[in-house]
Amino acid sequence: MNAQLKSTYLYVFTAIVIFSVYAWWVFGVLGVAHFTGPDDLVRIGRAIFSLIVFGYAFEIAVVLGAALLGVKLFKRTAGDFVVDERDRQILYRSLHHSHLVLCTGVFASVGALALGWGAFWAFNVLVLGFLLSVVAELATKLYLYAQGA
Amino acid sequence: MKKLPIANEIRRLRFERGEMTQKDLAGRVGVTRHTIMAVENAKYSPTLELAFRIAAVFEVEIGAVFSYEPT
Repeated sequence: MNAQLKSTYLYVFTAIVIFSVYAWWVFGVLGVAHFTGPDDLVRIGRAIFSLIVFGYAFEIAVVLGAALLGVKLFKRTAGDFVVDERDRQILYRSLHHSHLVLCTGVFASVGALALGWGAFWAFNVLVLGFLLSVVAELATKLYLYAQGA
Repeated sequence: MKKLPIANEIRRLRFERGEMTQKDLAGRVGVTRHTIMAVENAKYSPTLELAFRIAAVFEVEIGAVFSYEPT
């Protein structure tokens, strides 16, 4: 299996963990009521900022950990981590799809505000757009690698 | 995924060069074995630079390796 395909599966795992923890924390532990009141925007901002910071930190830690494990346990060399022109082309195509979905999420979020939705729901439409953009990126990558493109 | 209109003779040329493996060819042109496999199966059209590098490994003109076959 291609090293890039393996790392794509790792990204699928980290995305599932990150967004599951976010949904559990925001909707389960804190609850919607936590995000109402005069400082609702500050609380929403903290929740989304935490998602971004801890999400990226977790993703970097997992990918770095997997790479180190591969080197130590499976004696992988630099050659196993080569990214060539085909990998880059697949990355560009997947980022293109991801970008389209993310833009749609931003517009949907603004639309939610225009429809009079509360800030909490409008920002979570944005988070949903971010989640779907990640799904679009990873699904495109997995499809293209599976097709041998 | 349908095959692309760029056909190639890489498999035959590898065979004629002492059954050079895909891994060997990949190492000599600086890509992964998966990319060589995709090019060989006409599922990925290489950049012009990679096409020239592959032709250079086999010491032939680029036209002897790749050809355009519109569907």
